[in-house]
Amino acid sequence: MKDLSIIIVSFNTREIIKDCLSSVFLSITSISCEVIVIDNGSCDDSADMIKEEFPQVKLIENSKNKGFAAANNQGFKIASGKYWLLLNSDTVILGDVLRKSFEYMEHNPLVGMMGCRVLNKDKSIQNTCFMWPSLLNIAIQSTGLGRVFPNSKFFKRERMRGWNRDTERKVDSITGCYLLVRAAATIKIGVLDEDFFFYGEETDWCLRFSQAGYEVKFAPVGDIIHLGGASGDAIHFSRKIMLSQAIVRLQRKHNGFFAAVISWALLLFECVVKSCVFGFASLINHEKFYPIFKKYFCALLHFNMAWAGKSKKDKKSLFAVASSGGHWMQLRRLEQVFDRYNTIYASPKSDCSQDVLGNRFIKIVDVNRWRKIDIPYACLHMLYVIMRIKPDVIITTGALPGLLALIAGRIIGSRCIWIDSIANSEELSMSGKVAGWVAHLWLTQWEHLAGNSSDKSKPEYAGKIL
Amino acid sequence: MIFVAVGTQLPFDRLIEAVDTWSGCSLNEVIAQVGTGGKYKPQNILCYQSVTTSDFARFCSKADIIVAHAGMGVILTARELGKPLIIMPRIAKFKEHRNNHQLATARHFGELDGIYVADNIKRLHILLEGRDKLLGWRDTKGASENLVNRICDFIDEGK
Repeated sequence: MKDLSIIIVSFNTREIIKDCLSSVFLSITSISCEVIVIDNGSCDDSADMIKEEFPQVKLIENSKNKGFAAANNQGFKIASGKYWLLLNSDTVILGDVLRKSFEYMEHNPLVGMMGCRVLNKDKSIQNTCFMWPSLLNIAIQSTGLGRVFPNSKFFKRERMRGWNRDTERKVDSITGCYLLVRAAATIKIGVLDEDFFFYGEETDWCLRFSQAGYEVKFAPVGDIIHLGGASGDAIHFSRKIMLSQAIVRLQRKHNGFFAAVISWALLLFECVVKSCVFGFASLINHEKFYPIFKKYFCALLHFNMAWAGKSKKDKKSLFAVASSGGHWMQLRRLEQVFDRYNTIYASPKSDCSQDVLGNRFIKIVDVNRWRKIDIPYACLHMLYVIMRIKPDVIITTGALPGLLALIAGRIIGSRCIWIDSIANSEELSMSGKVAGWVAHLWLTQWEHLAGNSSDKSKPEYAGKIL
Repeated sequence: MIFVAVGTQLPFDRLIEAVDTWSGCSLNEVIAQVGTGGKYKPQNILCYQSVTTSDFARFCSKADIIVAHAGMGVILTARELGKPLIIMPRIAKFKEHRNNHQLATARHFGELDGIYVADNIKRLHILLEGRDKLLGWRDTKGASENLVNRICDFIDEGK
């Protein structure tokens, strides 16, 4: 077992990571250490440079950017160290901070995670280690009261300003640019949560460590330089969105849906206020304030993206619908699919619910194309049902009620699957033909009715329900 | 017991009459679901216009043999229960259905074990007379593995 596994995620930082790796290899003389780099789909030949200049690095190459959490987790899988160090690629290791950090962890068995002092390029101190983004802290941050009252101790709390990072302290969260982790603890606590794409994942992890009884500590055992993260206001608006989404997701995960809504609203409020303030300010000093105005205003326009959607780990919700009789029986043959998800069934005959006992069943309005009078009512009722349950995916074996469900699903953004009845062996049913325009996945159960993969005018064949 | 089913949407007098006539000369218990709107009045068999899903399942599982139109519901039920099934396709020119798709269904599914196709009344009577030799085929599997995998991939990956 190595003392330390250093895990670095790289994304288009070819020149910067070169300095980082050089400084790492210069400073790991007295402890046994491995370096793992996960290249997250860089397009600047970072991976080739690493292979050539640092052949001792264990390199994982991803074809696309999987996000910070997922990439680190890949690294953990092959890490053999007693401690794992998450290190940003835009850092430089100074002195023997690695050895001292290692010794600190060895002497403090209750500490699960630690961070060291982080400096800006000009050697000024960078504020790492923050308080947990509680609703109060989000409110302070988003109202900008910390700037209005720069000397107030209370308003400095969240960013932990007014502390020179020169004393050992328990903290809520340590920034992932230098985060040393006791590997054994992750057996119980787990690795980073891949629902987070960028930002927030280490805060979530720190909280889980604290909840499991470990100490999360800042220790001024040495310094590193972190090139990024210095210029808070000049960042691109998409980072503002990602940061907001991370905060909303933290709230949703740990404090529930309602807290997430409030935090989202607070962050939206921040964007509104700052857009106004910097909008006016840019009338006075265009050069200085216009970029900041632009950032907040663009963020405002895209703020719906700051909402944290359902966790990827949650089961998807499925709405399985069919007319009674043969269509319903065919649908039921797909039980193997339905068992994997949260499935709600629907059919016009209420005694179909007997077939799916223990599952939620909704009776829908019966309609076929010979009973045109009922169609408007059936449409409205279907739309009401679909809007109420908001399924991720709608799946149907027909006939007209299934088609209506797919159309309603398209309106609210569900993914739609049409499986044409096995009875239609000569040509698709009327509804089945229309479904070709509506469904995302359009299936027939007869190979001779299917088109080849490039022909979108014909359905796909994947097998029969029989 | 013989269970006859013609589906809920349309009547199917040709089939009901054929079974009723045959039943008059044999001593078999016959239960039939005949649908609504039929003109023929059966003499020898017990009739229901429609049956609930659970009654349908109950009659099917009690039956020694099932006689039906070429509808998917009854075909799937018979195969799930492993009952021998005689199917008579509805024909459009007799106004038994809107089109002749049941002929195609009968052609495709008549090839499967446990399913016997009666294209006409004479053939139906022959099959009924030799009913002891008809064997069912139990299909306990669900949908084909490829289909299940394709659908799950789509749900998980979105494409």
